[in-house]
Amino acid sequence: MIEAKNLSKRYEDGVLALDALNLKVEPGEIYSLLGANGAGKTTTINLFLDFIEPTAGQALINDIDVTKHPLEAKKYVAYVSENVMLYASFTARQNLDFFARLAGKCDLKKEDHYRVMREVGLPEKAFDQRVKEFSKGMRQKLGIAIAMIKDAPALFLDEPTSGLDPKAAAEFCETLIDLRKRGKAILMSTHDIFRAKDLADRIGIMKEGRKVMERTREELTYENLEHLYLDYMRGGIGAEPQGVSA
Amino acid sequence: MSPKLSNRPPKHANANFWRTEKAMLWTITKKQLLVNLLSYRFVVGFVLCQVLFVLATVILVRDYEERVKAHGEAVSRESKKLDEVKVYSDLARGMSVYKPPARLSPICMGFDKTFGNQAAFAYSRAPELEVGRQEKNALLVALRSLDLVTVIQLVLGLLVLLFAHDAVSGERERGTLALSMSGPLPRHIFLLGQYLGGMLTISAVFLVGIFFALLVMIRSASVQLGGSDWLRLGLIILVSLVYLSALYLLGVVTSILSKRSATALVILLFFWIVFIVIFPNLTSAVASKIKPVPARGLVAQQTANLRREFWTGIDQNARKTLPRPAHKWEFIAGRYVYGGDLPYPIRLGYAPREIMEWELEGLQRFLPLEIEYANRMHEVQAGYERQLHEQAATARFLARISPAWSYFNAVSGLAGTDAEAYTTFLAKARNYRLQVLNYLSSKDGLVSYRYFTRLEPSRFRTTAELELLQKQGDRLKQEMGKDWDSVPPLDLRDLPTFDHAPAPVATAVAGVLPDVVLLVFLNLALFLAAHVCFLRTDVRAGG
Repeated sequence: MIEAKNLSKRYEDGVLALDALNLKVEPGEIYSLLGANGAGKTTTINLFLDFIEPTAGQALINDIDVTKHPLEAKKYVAYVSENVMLYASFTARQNLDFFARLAGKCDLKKEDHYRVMREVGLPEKAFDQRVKEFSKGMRQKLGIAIAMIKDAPALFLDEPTSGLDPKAAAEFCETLIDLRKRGKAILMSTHDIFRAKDLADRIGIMKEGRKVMERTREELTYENLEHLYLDYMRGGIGAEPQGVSA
Repeated sequence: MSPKLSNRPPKHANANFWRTEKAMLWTITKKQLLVNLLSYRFVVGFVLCQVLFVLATVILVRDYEERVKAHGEAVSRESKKLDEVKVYSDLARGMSVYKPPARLSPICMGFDKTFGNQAAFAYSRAPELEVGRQEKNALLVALRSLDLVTVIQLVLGLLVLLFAHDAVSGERERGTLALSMSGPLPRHIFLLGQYLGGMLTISAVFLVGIFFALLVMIRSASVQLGGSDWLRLGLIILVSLVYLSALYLLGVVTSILSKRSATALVILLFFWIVFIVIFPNLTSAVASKIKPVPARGLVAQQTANLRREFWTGIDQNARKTLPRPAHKWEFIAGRYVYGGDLPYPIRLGYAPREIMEWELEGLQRFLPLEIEYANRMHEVQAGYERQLHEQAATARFLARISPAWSYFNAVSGLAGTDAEAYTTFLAKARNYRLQVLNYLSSKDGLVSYRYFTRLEPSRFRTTAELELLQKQGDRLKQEMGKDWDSVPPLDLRDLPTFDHAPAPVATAVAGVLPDVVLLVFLNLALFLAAHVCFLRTDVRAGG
């Protein structure tokens, strides 16, 4: 569903933000990209969303090359950013309706909007409340509600739990697990090792634009992710060959 | 696992393409309209504009009513003057024609009050451009009056820029642009939706304002709009929307190119101050340098010299060649002349034959000469006016760099309040003067006895004959007749009438076409620029 083939990005200032990334996320799978700031996690997501163009390689969604057919590829995409910012003067439902319509969901009813907002754990009283009165946690929940209502098979989450309190983060993760059960392919970037370990079916560690390690959930049963991560960050272990997966 | 989807668009996709794009466009448009309507700037801008629209209309309708009244009084005064014409010299020596106030002047005052509404002329003087005493070329810039067009040009223009400055940069800063563009939304649809949403907001403010303004206008008994006025009004509304659209697109382009909304706002405010507020004065100054005109005093001096030359000439000529015949004052009645010793009569009630012939000879010699001098003075004046027009045309050409002044040119042209409307009136007045002179010639009322007396030549008597009558008591008194007050006025029913109707709509439209085309072209160019810039823009917050 989500696939990167030797995906690279060098910015105009010469910085190599992503170096020949290969990864694949199947439907019903959560893939977590771990790494420090500037490791290339957000660049990867931006390439899949066609916000930037790759220097080399391909970003494929449902086998459609994002660079060649961006509009076609993005029909299968939903996105939740680190800091979901919506139209502050609109109510939660108005925001939901707007973004759903942009995704072609024009025939949804009020009940459909309420159902999705309930599913992500937004309190009932917030449904028709203006978003400017929302906390960050509520905005993130509404962001995931927007992603859910699009019913897109591929989800891109850029640091979605960043800045959330533990309760809100836990609720958010439950929603992601639910989405996985529904067969969504989820690519998530995060700093949070523990959250990644809990949630992800596969984890890729990024460093300086390269994927230096990839482990499945099963492999991590026998390894300590925190130690692995820190070792890679300190540069103690050489980068694994690209394309290796469990 | 969800079923594998094909990477090719399904067959029905193309059929749904336009429907989907239309739905997306409407969604973006509705969203932008709602975002604007829910903002404080809309509430403040809406209230402010409505207040200004109504206030300006109330003031200008009152002003229009006063001008209509003054025009009516002036026309009736002139008509009364015609009823008191006893000899043709009364007509030849001075007439005035009046330009009615333009019916759409409460919408756009333009130059309607700059030059006054009267054109005075005589056989000895062609109507002149009333440029006042000021040295500045009055054709250059219309004095700003608080009319609807000024409110649209300045206040609504500013409001448009306030709405447009964050049309893209604001979405980018909020992060909503990235979220919107993460889906299958074509960039041109987003841009078009933002534009339409913004324009619908502005149109709401503008059209409600115009509606209130028209309510105020049509409540006034003096403002009587005909079919062509409504057509002009419709065109003015259309041109106003084209102008506001150009400003909105300028704001959108700036918004796309600026990383932050605040930067876009600063740039647009700078543009507003320079191109809308300062620019006309700047172009006037530049035009004055490129196309200088001689000082007004110099022209006045030239015409004064010609006038002096004429009067000195005829005075010397009369003294040398036309000495007054011997006469008795008691045989002369009701005599009005330019100078006591000059045979240049204005009115002569009664006089002996020798005096009548002497006056006629003077008239035959001097009146054509004065007309010739009047033409020479007019040539000097016309040359000066031509230079003023050339300077004004240069300034107008330069001012077209600013959309606000292309807009002003177009709207004042449609409202019939541009400088052209006054010069057309002046040309008509000049033509009317020639018609009056032809009329006088046709009545033998210019260089003949009829010019200055109602006495038929058959009734002329010599001084000797009058002396005989004097000896017969009352006979002289009977012979000399009544005084001027009791002389009946001339029948002037066949005098050509002056009719100044505004230029037909088609002519007005043809006149404003360059400015309208320029505004439309600006819209297209800015939309294209916005599209090209937006295709290359980074949609990410902070991008």
